[in-house]
Parts: sequence; C-alpha cells; structure tokens
Amino acid sequence: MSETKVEVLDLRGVVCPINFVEVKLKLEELETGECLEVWLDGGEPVENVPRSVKEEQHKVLVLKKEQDYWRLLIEKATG
Amino acid sequence: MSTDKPVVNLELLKAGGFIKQKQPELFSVRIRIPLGNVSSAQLLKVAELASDYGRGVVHLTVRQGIEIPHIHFKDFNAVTAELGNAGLDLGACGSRVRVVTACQGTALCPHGVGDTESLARKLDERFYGQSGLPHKIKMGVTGCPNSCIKPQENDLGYIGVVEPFFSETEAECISCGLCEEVCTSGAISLIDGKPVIDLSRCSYDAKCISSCPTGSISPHRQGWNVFVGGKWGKEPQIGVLFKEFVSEEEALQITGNVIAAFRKLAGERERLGSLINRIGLDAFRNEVLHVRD
Repeated sequence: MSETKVEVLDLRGVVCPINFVEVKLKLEELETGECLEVWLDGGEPVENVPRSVKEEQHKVLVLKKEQDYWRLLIEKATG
Repeated sequence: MSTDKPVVNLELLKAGGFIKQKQPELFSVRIRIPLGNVSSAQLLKVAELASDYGRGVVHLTVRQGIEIPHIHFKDFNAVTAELGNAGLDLGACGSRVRVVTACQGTALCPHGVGDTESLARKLDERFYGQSGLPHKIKMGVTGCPNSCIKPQENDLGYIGVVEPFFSETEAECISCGLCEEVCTSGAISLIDGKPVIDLSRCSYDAKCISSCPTGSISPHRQGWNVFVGGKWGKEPQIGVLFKEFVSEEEALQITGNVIAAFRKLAGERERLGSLINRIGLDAFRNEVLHVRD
C-alpha cells in the first residue's frame, strides 16, 4: 500500500475556498481507501483545508510542514 | 406671529433621539439600529425620509447607527410616524442605556465562537432605553477575542471565548503541529509530538480547535468574558475583566446587577468606569454580587 504511487495535487498559490474545491473534485476520482497528497500554503489554506477534509469524513493521515508549504496526505472515505 | 412657534424642550427631544444642530430649528434624528442590522426595506425608507425631510444625506454613526440630519422640528411627528411604519424607532441619547452594538459572531463569521446575535438581542430587549441613570450605559458584544466590535471601550463589554482541551480519547493526534503554528499567543508547544496548552497564555479564540485536522483538541468550556468600565470621551479607558466564561443567562444577570449597582453608587454624571476608579474594582464587584434587583 505504501509503495503505491500517490498523486500529488500542488495547491501552492491557490486561495480558499478554491483549493478545497479542487481537493473535493480530485477525491471524487479516487476509490475508497486510496490516498491523495496535497501541497498547501501556510496560513488560511492549511488552517481550513485539512479541517474541511476531515468534516467530509475523509481521514487526514499526515500533515507535515515542509520548507515553504504543508504536505497533507488524505485517505478517501466511503461514499 | 410668535404664537404659532411651538415651545421645544431640547432635553426631552435629545433623550428621544432628536439632536439639536448648530443651525437654528434643525435637528439630526437618531434611529435605533440594534446590532447594526437593518433591512433593505428600512434602508429605503430612511433614504426616502432623508430626501423628503432632510437634505438627502444620512450620517453613519460609530455605534452602527444611522442619523438623518437637517430635520426641521415641525416635521418631528411626521418623521417619527413614518419611521414607526417601517418598524424603526428613535435611538436613545442622554443618560440612558444606549443601543447595543454587536459583530455578526457565529451567524456568519468564520472566527466567531459566541452567538452574538442571541446575547445582544436579549440585552437589547431587557435593558435598552432604561432611563434615570447617573450617566449613559453602552454595551458591545463581540463573538471572539479578535474583538472587532471593541467591547472593552463600552461600559459593559462581552467577548465570546472557548477554552481548549487536548485529549486523544476521541481522535488520535497526528503530531502535525498546526495548533502550535496557528496559536498567535504562543500558548501551545509540542512536547514529544503532542500539544501542551499553557492556559495562562491562551487567548481563548479557539483557533487551535477549529484548525485541528483530527479533532483531538476540543472545547473544554465556553461562554462570555464580561468587561466593565470602558469608556471613551476626554479620559478614555479600557474596560476591565469582571468575570470569565459566564453563560448567556449569567451575562444578562450580571448586566442587570451592574446597572443596579451603578444606579445606587454613582454620582450625578459619573460614568461606570469613573465609579470603579473611585471605589476600586473589588468594592464594586462586591456590591454587584450583593445587589438584589
């Protein structure tokens, strides 16, 4: 599972709430249990997007601060 | 000719929302707009009155209100009646409980943690317009510690607050450190990958709770912080914290008791803040706790 290639959605420079809409659209293409990696700016994007993802019942596996962005790993929920 | 000139009691008019202008016989009409919310239909009526009876301008006040200037006193009854038809009252002036100001709070602000609309409406219903006070009483309600409504510059100010609590019983912490990152008061540090919250530095704005991607930080208690004694004018001062984390009902009760103590203790033309300066916060607090109204 961890060897599976995870698609990366680079949302650096994309403002709220467009970033979350893009995450939603991308997650719709995935199967339950599949993962998506998202790169987010600090500030509003990282304060809003991970929480919104959780509110849609998806699982936030990793949220980690990298050099100049935040790396978010999501596991898609059922439905 | 002099017989058809009505006698005008300026003080009575001022208490009722008619504020004398420097121009003879003209007044600025203050409209009561609680919480700064006014319907579009009411706004249209205000615009119409400003055109028909004033000079086509309105003045937006610092307390979220509207005044229509340049109203001749012979038009008072007509203007008052037309405002009444639109569901609008005249705004309180003088030594009375003034209009309650409020931000939009949880109703639509992403930062809001307190239901400002509910508390401010109840304050307005219970206390607005009370008269016979030593001086004016102003109240401001804000939904979070960002304090957009500037509650501490009011005689009574209310701030919506939440105390955070970290626990992994509901959800597992993934040690992302976002809580530490978003906390502008530096109250959170990650120790062994888990947040430790120093409540003595916490601003109670719930930023850590709302941003946590797992839900392992949650509200421990929530309510209103009540401030007393703020005022502006020639000797401005910021209100001081009277009581923390009170419920809406307790905030209303404190308000009633503070006003009762103010009536009892303050001298003529003494603001609440000046009274507290004179007798001290402890003595004032004691008085409020023992007031029975």
